[in-house]
Amino acid sequence: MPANPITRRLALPGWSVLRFSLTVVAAVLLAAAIVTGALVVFWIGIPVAVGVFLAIRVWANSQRRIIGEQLGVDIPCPYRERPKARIDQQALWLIREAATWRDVAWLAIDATLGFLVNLIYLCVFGVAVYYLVQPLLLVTVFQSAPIPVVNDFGFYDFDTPAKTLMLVPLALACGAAWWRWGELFLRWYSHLGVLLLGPTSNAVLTARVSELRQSRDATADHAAAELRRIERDLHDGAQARIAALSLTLGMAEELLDHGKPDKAAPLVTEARQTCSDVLEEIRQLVRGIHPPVLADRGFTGALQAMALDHPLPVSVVDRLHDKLPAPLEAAAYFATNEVLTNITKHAEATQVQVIVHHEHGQVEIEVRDDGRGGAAVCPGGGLDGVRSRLAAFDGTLTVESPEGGPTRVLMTLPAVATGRREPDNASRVAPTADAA
Amino acid sequence: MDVVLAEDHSLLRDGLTRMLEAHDCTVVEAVDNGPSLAAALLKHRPDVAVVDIRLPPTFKDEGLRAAIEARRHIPALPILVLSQYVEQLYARELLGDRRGGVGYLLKDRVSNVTEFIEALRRVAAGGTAMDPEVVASLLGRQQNRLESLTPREKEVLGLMAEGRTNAAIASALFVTEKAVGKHSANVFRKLGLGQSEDDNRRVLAVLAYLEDN
Repeated sequence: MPANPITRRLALPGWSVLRFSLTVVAAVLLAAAIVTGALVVFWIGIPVAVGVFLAIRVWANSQRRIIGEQLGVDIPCPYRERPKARIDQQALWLIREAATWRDVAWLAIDATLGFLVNLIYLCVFGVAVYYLVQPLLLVTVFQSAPIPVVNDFGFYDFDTPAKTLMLVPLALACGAAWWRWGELFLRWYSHLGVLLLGPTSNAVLTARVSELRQSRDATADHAAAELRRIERDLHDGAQARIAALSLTLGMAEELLDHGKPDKAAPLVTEARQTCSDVLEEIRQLVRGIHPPVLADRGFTGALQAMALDHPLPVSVVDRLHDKLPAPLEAAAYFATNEVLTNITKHAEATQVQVIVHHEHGQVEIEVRDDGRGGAAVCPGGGLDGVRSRLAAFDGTLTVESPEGGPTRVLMTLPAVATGRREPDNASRVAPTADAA
Repeated sequence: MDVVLAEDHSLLRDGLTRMLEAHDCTVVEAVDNGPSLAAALLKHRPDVAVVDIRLPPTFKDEGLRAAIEARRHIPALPILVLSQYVEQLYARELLGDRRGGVGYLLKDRVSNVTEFIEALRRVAAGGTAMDPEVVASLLGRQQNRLESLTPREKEVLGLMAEGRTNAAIASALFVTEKAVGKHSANVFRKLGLGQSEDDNRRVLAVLAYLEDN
């Protein structure tokens, strides 16, 4: 629907004609539904009823589109996902679904009330136009034609062109009514449709719960996998090395006890080297669990550090004014880090840009690169991991990556900031990564 | 040499104190938190401070902030920062005032006592001591601009960026000091940096070049 009130009003009769003709379709479908309803008693009626219900769905979907377009709202499809089952079970599922019966209710309303509403609207509009132009037409094009019968009002016959002029005020009154109330009238009726065609609050909640259950399962899986990884890393890495270290030191001690310090010295050197290796390993592990720079500086600082460590020039535009809650910071950090790593691995880019916004309770992280494009979220891939990590926080990931590039990855996270960001004394001294 | 030490783990604090005292250093004060560190630095004005980056009360980058703040009051106050992990971002902030007299090392470098004491003396003398890991990540992102260097010249550049003198580089690479001089001259010519006799200024020029994108 156009936003301009005048063009919108002028477009409405067209819409009304469309919906008026669809009420005729509705009436046919309603009649078919009633007939097949009666036929269900005989077995033959059942497949026919399913066919009719499916036809009603098609009609209801067209109604959703038309009404949505007219009111400028999006009417989501209320149907639950169709289960993979035998035909007869699918039929049963179709009949059990509440949305099916709400569609039928709207079908009945649209075939009767809808017919009337659109008829009244179109009549008022028609009367206004017709009686307004009639005198003009009678004295020009239709001079010799007889006066149309619609001018015989029973109590008085406006049978000359001059007399039809007396009907102009009626046309004007109808026109004014059409202008003033016509749109409201149709909108009122359409809102009634939204009530029946849209999902019930129950259905919305059901969908939301199943979405949350999925993301909770993914989070739990992810957490369990992480714990297993940490356990394995500690077991195979640090623990094994420390055991070896204690062995080496034991041997050195023995050599010292036997008065052979020159033979003990290389063992001590070896022990020191092992210490460094263990520390390095633990450092890597800690970075994977919760990077220290994130703990120190929050997401903003960690983003700068990430940009500096990246092999490609990464420019950061950070418009984050508040500190994010800690779990979100970690999610945002790991997601951004994964996307940046992906760019190093696959994109063949020369420039990377990271833009961070915080608006309307939503954090947006946009990563752009000038690489070769063709990035996609495929199951089990890096970007898919990012998507499921973000999903745990109701976040989203969208990828625009035409073949040949450039690539744009947009991540969003709903977030309520925890307060003002702490003053950043240290970072004020040095040039920030913005200049990088 | 007077040293102020800031480290919150008492075992490490005692160990460091013992090691420093064994190498002609006097630990004038050993503190375990950020605010006392700031006060101690201003009070003693030590020859060098050895500071752990993560200190109470916040257990964030308290030590780094205190160090940078102290250098604002006492310009070029030599400070050697120790940390369990290194970040280019922090190295950048420490070098921000381009004055030298800063060190930034991983904590476990302490285990190589000789090198650690050498780094400490360098910092006290107004030089620089950058951890090889920081230098490696700086070199890593400049690969395009360093293409013209030979592998040996890259090695020299890396050691130079850590803050080592020609003599130290020579002994690390088992070559003569003269050879190092030749390599470093080549490096400076190829990167278009002004030659300087002063070791410290040379190091700062190299670090600035590596940081510059």
